[in-house]
Amino acid sequence: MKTILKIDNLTKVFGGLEAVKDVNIQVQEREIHALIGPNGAGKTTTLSMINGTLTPTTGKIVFRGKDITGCPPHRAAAEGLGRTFQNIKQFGSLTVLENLMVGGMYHHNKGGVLHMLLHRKETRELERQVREKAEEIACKIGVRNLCGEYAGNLPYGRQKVLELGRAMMGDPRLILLDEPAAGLNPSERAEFVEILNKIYEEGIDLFLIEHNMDVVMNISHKITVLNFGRKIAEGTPRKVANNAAVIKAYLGDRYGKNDQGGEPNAGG
Amino acid sequence: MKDKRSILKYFPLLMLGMIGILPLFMTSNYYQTICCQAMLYAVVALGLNFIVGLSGLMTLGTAAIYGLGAYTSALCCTKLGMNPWAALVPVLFMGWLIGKGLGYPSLRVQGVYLSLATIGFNEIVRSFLTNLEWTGSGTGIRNIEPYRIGDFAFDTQIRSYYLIYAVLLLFIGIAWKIVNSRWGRAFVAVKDNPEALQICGIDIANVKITAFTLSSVFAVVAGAMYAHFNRYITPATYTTDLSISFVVMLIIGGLGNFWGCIYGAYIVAFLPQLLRPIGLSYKLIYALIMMCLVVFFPNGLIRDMKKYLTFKRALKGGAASENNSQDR
Repeated sequence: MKTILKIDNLTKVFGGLEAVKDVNIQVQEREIHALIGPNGAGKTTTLSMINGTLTPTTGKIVFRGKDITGCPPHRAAAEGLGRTFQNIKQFGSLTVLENLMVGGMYHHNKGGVLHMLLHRKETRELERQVREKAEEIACKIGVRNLCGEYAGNLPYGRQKVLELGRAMMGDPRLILLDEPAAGLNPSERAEFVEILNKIYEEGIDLFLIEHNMDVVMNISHKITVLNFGRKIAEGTPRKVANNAAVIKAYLGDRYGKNDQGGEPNAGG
Repeated sequence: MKDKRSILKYFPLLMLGMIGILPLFMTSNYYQTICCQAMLYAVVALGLNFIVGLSGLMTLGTAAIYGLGAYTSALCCTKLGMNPWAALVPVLFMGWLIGKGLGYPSLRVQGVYLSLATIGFNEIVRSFLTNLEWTGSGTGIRNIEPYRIGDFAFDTQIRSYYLIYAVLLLFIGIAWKIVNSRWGRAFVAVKDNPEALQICGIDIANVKITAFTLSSVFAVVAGAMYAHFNRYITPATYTTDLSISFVVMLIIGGLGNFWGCIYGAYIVAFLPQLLRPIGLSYKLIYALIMMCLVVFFPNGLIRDMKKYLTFKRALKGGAASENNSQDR
């Protein structure tokens, strides 16, 4: 198996606080990798450093054999690294379709404004391509009938799905998901997991932070557990669920003793 | 709702048509001059729309850009003896330069600080123009030659009117293309959520600088047109007041509303002139009307008029998304 994302001794210090300390994670290709841990463990900080929103204090991030440590977010995205946010970040005054089209702008853009105005045929062609692709993705994530609606008017669950769709528009190789199931009701959650599985089967790898253990245990092949900025365990869901340190720090008794974790999905 | 919608759909065409035949009814030179100014303001407003309306950055230095356009063109013609048409090349270069120059600070300075910084820019430019010997100091530049094609000079009000009308139509076309393109979407995305735009692989610095460059190119061209139409420019025109007026045009028309820029420009250009017969208190009345417009039509005159017209229907249900809809 090839490693798609390799994190070496990643450390982030805010003032005197070590939010993340010497974390090593290797995300393999064709794997859904989950990052869990109690609140304040440094999960989102880690994700933000990978995608470039935060600059690591020390450490190295290698994505598909390329060192992307300290790259600005738009460069990391151009390398094929998609991301969704914990608190939804969409473009509220654009329609659903336009939101998706912005997601695909990187691949359907050529030159500046002047270039665009002078090459009308090419512009029309690029616009058609990105629109078709956006419609295709809208079908895939089940918002086809909402394409003309303003994103700000969508219900919460749909906005989360839309954000995932926008990440897919950039043709990513790996999508970083920050608590995708948070705030979703059980039926929305089930639908979201279904979409995630569909995306995974299309060949996009996933690296997610999630608090909902049903989702994590069902979907992921490998789990890394953080506590107080340090990695305390890593392995298959079953192994992690039975790890004494993880149970003490995060899971509680339920997942350890009764072993309700179950097998990971053997997809792919 | 259908019937009212379909009438409003033709509103832009109606408006442009009306602008086209306006001089037939307004035969006085004075009003035609105001009309020309209003059209030039509309061009500036269309450009400013990229920054203030779409990208949501509040800049108050537009009058300086408008002025630099006028001065560049006027100086090239009077000092270097260039043809006014040829002078558009240095004018465009000037616009590009200002756009880049103002765009970079906007990456570091945000919100009200950006407004202050751009007011500073405006004042610096104005005081330079007022005090430099070779820009004519406080008296400005006189005897600027008009645009001409062959022997035909655009030297009367009515001739200038249609020249400026053509320029307005050209810039409306360009702006419309940009607003409804990938760049238009990117500008709105910068306003809505810059972080999310970055993770789409787009460099927001590039988007903001593009918005500033477009805006200043629109403003310098309008400025140059003004110089050759008025044939006399003075630094006293390019005050922060004028900069604020440009933003007011956008607000009256509704921030981010494409056609709003144009009727907004007309309202700001005409209203004070129409109120002038009232006497000394006309500025007070003007200010009161502006306040009412902002309070009762915060999303733009036409857009909110639509809302008031469809209010009854909205109460009966449906039209749920009315308040959040934005027709750019």
